[in-house]
Amino acid sequence: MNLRSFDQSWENAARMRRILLLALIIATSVIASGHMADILPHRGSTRLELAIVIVFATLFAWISIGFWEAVAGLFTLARRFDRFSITLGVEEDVSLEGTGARTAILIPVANEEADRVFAGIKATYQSLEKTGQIRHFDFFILSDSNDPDRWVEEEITWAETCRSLGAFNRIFYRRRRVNLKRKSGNIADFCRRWGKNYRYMIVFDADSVMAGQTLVRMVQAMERHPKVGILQTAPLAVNRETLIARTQQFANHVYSSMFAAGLHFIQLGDSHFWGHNAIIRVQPFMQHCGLPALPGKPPRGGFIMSHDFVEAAFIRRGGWEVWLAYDLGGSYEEVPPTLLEELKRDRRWCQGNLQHIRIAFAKGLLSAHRALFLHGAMSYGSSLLWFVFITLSTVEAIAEAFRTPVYFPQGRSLFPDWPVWHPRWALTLLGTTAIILFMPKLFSAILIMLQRGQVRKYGGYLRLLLSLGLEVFLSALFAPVRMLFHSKFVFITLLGRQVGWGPQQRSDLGTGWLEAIRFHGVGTLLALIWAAALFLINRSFFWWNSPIFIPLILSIPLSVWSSRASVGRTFRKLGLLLIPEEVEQPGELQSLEASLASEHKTVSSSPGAGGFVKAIVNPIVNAIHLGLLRNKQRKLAQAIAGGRAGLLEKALSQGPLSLTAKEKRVILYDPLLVRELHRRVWETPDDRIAKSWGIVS
Amino acid sequence: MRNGPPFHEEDWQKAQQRVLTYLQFLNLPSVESLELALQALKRAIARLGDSPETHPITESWRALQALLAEEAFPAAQGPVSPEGKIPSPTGIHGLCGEIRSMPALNRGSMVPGKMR
Repeated sequence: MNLRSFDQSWENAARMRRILLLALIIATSVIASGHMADILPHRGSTRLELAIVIVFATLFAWISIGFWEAVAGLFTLARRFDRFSITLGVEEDVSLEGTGARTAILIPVANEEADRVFAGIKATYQSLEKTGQIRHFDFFILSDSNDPDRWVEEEITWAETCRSLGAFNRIFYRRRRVNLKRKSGNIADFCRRWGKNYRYMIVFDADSVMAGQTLVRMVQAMERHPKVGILQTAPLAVNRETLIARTQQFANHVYSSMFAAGLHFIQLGDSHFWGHNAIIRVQPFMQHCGLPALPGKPPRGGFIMSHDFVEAAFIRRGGWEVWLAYDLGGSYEEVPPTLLEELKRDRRWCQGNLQHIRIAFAKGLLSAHRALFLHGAMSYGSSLLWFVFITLSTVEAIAEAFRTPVYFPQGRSLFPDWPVWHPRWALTLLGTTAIILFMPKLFSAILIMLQRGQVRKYGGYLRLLLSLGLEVFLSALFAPVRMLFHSKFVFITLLGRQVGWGPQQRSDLGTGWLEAIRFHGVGTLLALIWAAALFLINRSFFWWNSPIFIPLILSIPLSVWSSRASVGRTFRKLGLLLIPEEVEQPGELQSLEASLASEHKTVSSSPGAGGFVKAIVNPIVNAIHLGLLRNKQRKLAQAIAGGRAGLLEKALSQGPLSLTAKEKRVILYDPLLVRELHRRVWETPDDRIAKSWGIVS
Repeated sequence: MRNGPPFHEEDWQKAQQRVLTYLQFLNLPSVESLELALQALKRAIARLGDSPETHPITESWRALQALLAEEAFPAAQGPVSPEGKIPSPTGIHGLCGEIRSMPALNRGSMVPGKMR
C-alpha cells in the first residue's frame, strides 16, 4: 500500500472498527446484565437490585472492552499481516545516512539510583554504537533530583559513563534547579533549550533500555511517515526477581503483544502515548504540547500529572498522528518489585487519570482521545465500582436473610410470587464472566504455541501452561487487594487529597512485616469483619464471596511473601514464570547486567560516603561538581553571605550529619563554599573534624 | 598561631597519612604518589622550619596542592589518561571547562496550549 492510500484509509477503517467494538460491548453487556437481573431474588425490581444491575452492567462493559480488544489482537496476530502496521516497510538494517535526522534520547530522572539509570544508558549506547548510527543520536540525562546525595551521585556517574564510553559531548547531563511541572516540565525545558537542534526525541523512563536497532528503526519509521507525531513502542517488562514482579513480567510477555495488537487494531493513528519508550517529532510537540495548568487546586486542578495521555491528545488535536508500534521488539522497562511499590505508583497514576476526566471535555480534542481519558479514569474507577457492587450485594444478602417473604406483593392474587434463587443461572453468569476475563489469556497461550520456537522461550509446553495457571491464580489472589486500594485511592482523590510524587524503589528489596501490617492492616480487619458477618447471617453468600475475602485476610503475608526475591528465584529455578529474556538474554540486557555487577572504582570510590560528602572530600568528585556548577559567582547580599559563612562553620565544626538536605543544597550550589569546605576539611589538624567527614589519617 | 618547639613525630606521621590519603583519591600510580607525598612533606618541613605558624597537616596539604598545580601532568595527558583514570582535580577542572555537560543553548518557544 502506498503512503497516500495508507493515510486515507486508516481513518475509515478505525471508524468502522470502533463502531463494531462498541456494538459488541453493548450487546454482551446487555445480555449479561439481563441474566444478572434474573438471578436476583426480585429480578431487579427493587431499587437496591436495580442499582446492583446498573453497577454490574458498567463493570461487565468494562471487562468486555478488554475481551474484544484481545479478540482483535488475536485476529491481527494470527493473520500475520497487518496493512496498517506502522513499521511495515521499515528494514531491519537501515541507515539514517542522508536523512539529516538528529535524535535526542531523553532520560528524565528524579532522585533515582544513579548506578541503575546510567547502566541502562550505557547498555543502550553500546547497542546503538553497534548499529553504526550513533552519530545521529545524543543522550540527555535531565535531572530533577533534589536529594543532595543523589544529585552528586548522578554527576559522578555521568562523568564515569562518559569517560568509559568516550562519550563526552554525546551524553549530556542537565539538572534543573526548579522542578516546575515535574517530568513534563523537564521535557518542555529541554525542548525550549535544545529542541531546535533535533528532529526527534525518544523519551526514556529511568529504567528503560532499548536496542540500538529498535531506536534506528523508530527514526526510520518516522521518516517514512511524516504525519506521525508520536510513535509508541510496547515495552517488555524484564529484570525483576521478586515473585510478584516476575508474575507481572510473565503476564506482560504472554498477553501484552496480543492486547497491544488489539489496541492498535482499534486505535490506529489515534493511539496512546505512555510517557516513555516512544519517539516524538520535536517541532509539532513544541507547537502543540505545552501543557496548561488546570483551574483549581490539586489534585483535581493545578499541573497536569499524567501528562503523556494529554500530550498525545494535544498533538493529535494539532493534526499529527499517534501510533503504537506493537510489533517492534527491543524495548524494555521494569515493573515495581513489590505490591506496595506497585500500589504507591498506582496512587499517583490514579490521581493523574482522574484529573483527565476534566480534560476529556476540553474543546477541540478528538473523540478517540476523549474515550481514552475516560478509559484511563475507569482503570481505577472500576475498582470503586467493584467495591460498590460487593457492598450492595452484601446489603442485599443480609436484607434477604432478615426479610419476611411477601408472596402476594400485588395484593389478592391466584399465584404467589416466590422469591426464587437459581444457582444454575448464577453459575452460568459466573462462567460467562470467567470466559470474558480468562479467555484472552488462553488466546495468548495459543498464539505463542502457534509461533515456531516461541514455546521453548517459556520453558516448554508444560511449563508454559503451568506458569499460565500460576499467573491466573496469583492475579486472582492479588485482585481483591488491588481493588480495595484502588477504591481507596479514587475515594481519596475525589475528596481532594493530594499525593506526593517521590522516586520509585526500583531494586528488588522486599517488603518488611511491619510495613506490610501498616499498609494492609485495616483491609485485613475489614475483610475479617465482613466474612464473619456473612458467615453468621448468610452462609451461602459467604462461600460465594470467599475468593474475595480470603486474599484480603491473607494480604499481609501475601504482600511480604510475594516481595521476596528468593521466592521469585525459586520459581525461576523450577522453570516457572519464565520469560524469553531469561532464557536467551539479549545483548542490551547482558550489558546492563554486566554494568551493574562491575565494581565501581575510580571516581566514585569513597566507600560508605553519600554523594554530598564525596563532593566535599573526594578531590575528583569535588572538581566534577565545581566544573558542572555555573562558574559565575554572584555577588551576595550581606545577610546571605553572612548566613553562608555561618553554614560553612557549622559544616566544619559539626560535620555533615548536622546538615539538613536544604543546607546541603545551599552548599552544593555555591562554588565558593564547596571549594572552601574541601580545602578546610583536608587542611584541618583536628582529627575529630576530619573523621566526621570520613578522612582517617 | 603556633610558636615554640618543632612538631612531634606523630604530627608528621599524620601529615604523611593525610597526604597519602588525598593522593589515593586521585588514583595516581603508587610510585608517583609516594614521590609526590615525599616532595610535599619535604616542602612542608622546610616551610615550618622557617616559621612554624601552621600545623604539619595543613602545610603538607598546601604543599601538595602547589605541587599538583606545578606538575600539571593532567594537561599533558588530556582529560582522560590512557589508563582510563581521571587523574587530578586540576585536570578535572580543565575537563569540565572544555567538555561541557550541556551543549550550547539554541532557544525555542513552547507555549502552554489553551484548554476550554
